[in-house]
Amino acid sequence: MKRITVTIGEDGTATVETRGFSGPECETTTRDLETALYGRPGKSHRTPEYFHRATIARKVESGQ
Amino acid sequence: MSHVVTDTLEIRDLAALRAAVARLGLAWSEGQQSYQWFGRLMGDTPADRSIPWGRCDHVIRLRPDDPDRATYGDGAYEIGVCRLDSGAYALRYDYWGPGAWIRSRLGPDLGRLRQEYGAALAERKIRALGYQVRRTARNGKIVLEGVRA
Repeated sequence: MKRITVTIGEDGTATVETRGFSGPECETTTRDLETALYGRPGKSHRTPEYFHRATIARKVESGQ
Repeated sequence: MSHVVTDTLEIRDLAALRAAVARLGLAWSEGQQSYQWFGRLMGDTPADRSIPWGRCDHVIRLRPDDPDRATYGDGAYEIGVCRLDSGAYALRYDYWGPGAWIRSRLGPDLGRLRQEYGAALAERKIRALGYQVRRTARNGKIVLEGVRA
């Protein structure tokens, strides 16, 4: 199950959080949303889940 | 008196702005070429004199049945939605006297309108990505949660 949570404060500032994604899809989805909101991508922060999944993927690719 | 403002928010999606205006219980007047304000600059606050104050492309205003009409009547000032050379839109208004409702309803920097505009933009984008969206309010914040199997 993929989840996107966008929280918009009383001054209009927004934060984007994603869950259930693996690797680059998380970044492209966040970037799409940030571009819709601000006209350009903002600073993204990778969640621990991103690194966990990416690490697993690299292990699979390298046969570990 | 005139206390005019051209807001720093650049609007690039009029459909999202219309959705935000409806959410806030205000009226949208499509194609209205002028908005109500004091009518001339008095020089009592800084204002860019190169801006054609009072002219616009669309208008945000109080609904006829809005409770604030009891205070401001038909003379309530309006918010002009003004197309810029860049293709984006700026919001311009006079917050003095009959324009006081603008800041009392939307905040000093139109924060509530910025918030609803952002929510409308985000909701449209999340739906376009194929997600179902649930909206909740939490401590004054709008929370949009998109879920996709």
